[in-house]
Amino acid sequence: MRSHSLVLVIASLVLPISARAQDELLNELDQQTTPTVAYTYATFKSTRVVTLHSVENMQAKQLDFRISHRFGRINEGFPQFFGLDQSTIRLGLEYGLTDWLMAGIGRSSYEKTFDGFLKMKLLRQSSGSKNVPVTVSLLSSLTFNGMKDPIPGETYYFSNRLAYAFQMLVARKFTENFSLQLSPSFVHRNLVKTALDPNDLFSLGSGFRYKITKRISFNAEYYYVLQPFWNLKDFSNVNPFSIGFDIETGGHVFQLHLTNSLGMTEKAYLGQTTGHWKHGDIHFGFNISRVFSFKK
Amino acid sequence: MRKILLLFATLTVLYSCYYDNEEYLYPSLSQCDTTSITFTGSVYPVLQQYCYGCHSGGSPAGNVALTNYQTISSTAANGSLFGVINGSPGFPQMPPDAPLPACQKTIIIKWIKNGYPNN
Repeated sequence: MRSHSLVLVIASLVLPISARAQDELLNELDQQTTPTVAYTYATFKSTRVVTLHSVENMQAKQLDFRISHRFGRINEGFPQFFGLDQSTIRLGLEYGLTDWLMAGIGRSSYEKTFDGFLKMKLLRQSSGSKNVPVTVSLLSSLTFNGMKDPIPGETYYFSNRLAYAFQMLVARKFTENFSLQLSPSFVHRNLVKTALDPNDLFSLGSGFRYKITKRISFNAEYYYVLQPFWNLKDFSNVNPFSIGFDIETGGHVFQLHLTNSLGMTEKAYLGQTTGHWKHGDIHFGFNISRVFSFKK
Repeated sequence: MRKILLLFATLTVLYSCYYDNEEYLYPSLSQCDTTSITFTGSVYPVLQQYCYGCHSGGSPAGNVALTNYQTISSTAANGSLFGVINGSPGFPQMPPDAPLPACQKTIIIKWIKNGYPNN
């Protein structure tokens, strides 16, 4: 609208000039004001807010090699060197099949878990001629518990090892520095410990990022896991909450964080978090992301 | 061909979706040890887990505080502890949201039947 009025104003100013010159000028203006879409980039620095996914995707033909660690609990004190004596690791390879679809595999030492996921970008936040307020991605992931003989002496079915997670990731970059994400999530576990533990877990997650400097940002992530109505006092599972910093160096992104969860998959993060922040059950952890490009 | 693959993948996922729990699948695992029940080792932890949410603190629900042996044994003595966890007629079901799991219920009932010793 504004561009049209601009055209009118300028056109009225150049009216006294010859018609030919006016036409040329208008043509030139038309070219300059061709509608463009300004897509929003870098809502988050990495494909993870802290532990779980952000709306970011790997671009086509880019491979992300991720190394993630979670150490023991800080409140274990000096004898365990504040948890640093124990570590849980996840190694991941994540690849952009197209600009809007990525696939990844990983292996965590926590429950010897293999995981695989697909993440699809449905909408991209943009302004200009196409105004989309949010970026929306869908995530589907599968985890496989690879423990050898989890229950000694008993037949452990293949299905027992599987758990599924589905997430909708909705994020908006409000300003250059501030991004917010909401992620309704659903986790299904084929096997749980007791009859009171729900196989299906629904949760609502939120994550945000605040850029402090050009290369450093502060991130936080909280998931509210809905307790099933029949089990109002599930003492074992705690809502995961994590804070951290993203530090970007040349080709790497370092994410350093504090979290009450040991798990690095959706299933473990949302369903097997047992630490309480107020009791000091906090784990130090980090993710290192290195991106390799296979673009020619 | 791609449609068939997609269908196959969907079916695999649906087929492998189960609602199991270890108590049910592996009954031998549920180590419900009811041979050596003690107040401090067996009963108190159960009450702590399932009852403390409401029945403790300055103004406990129903004016019933299950915080020490004296108060717990008095509810055992007057039959109300058995009544509520067993869901007997005339007693409100406790915990109100879901009955105690079988093992925990057995532990408390056995302790009451043993004469609610303070051990």
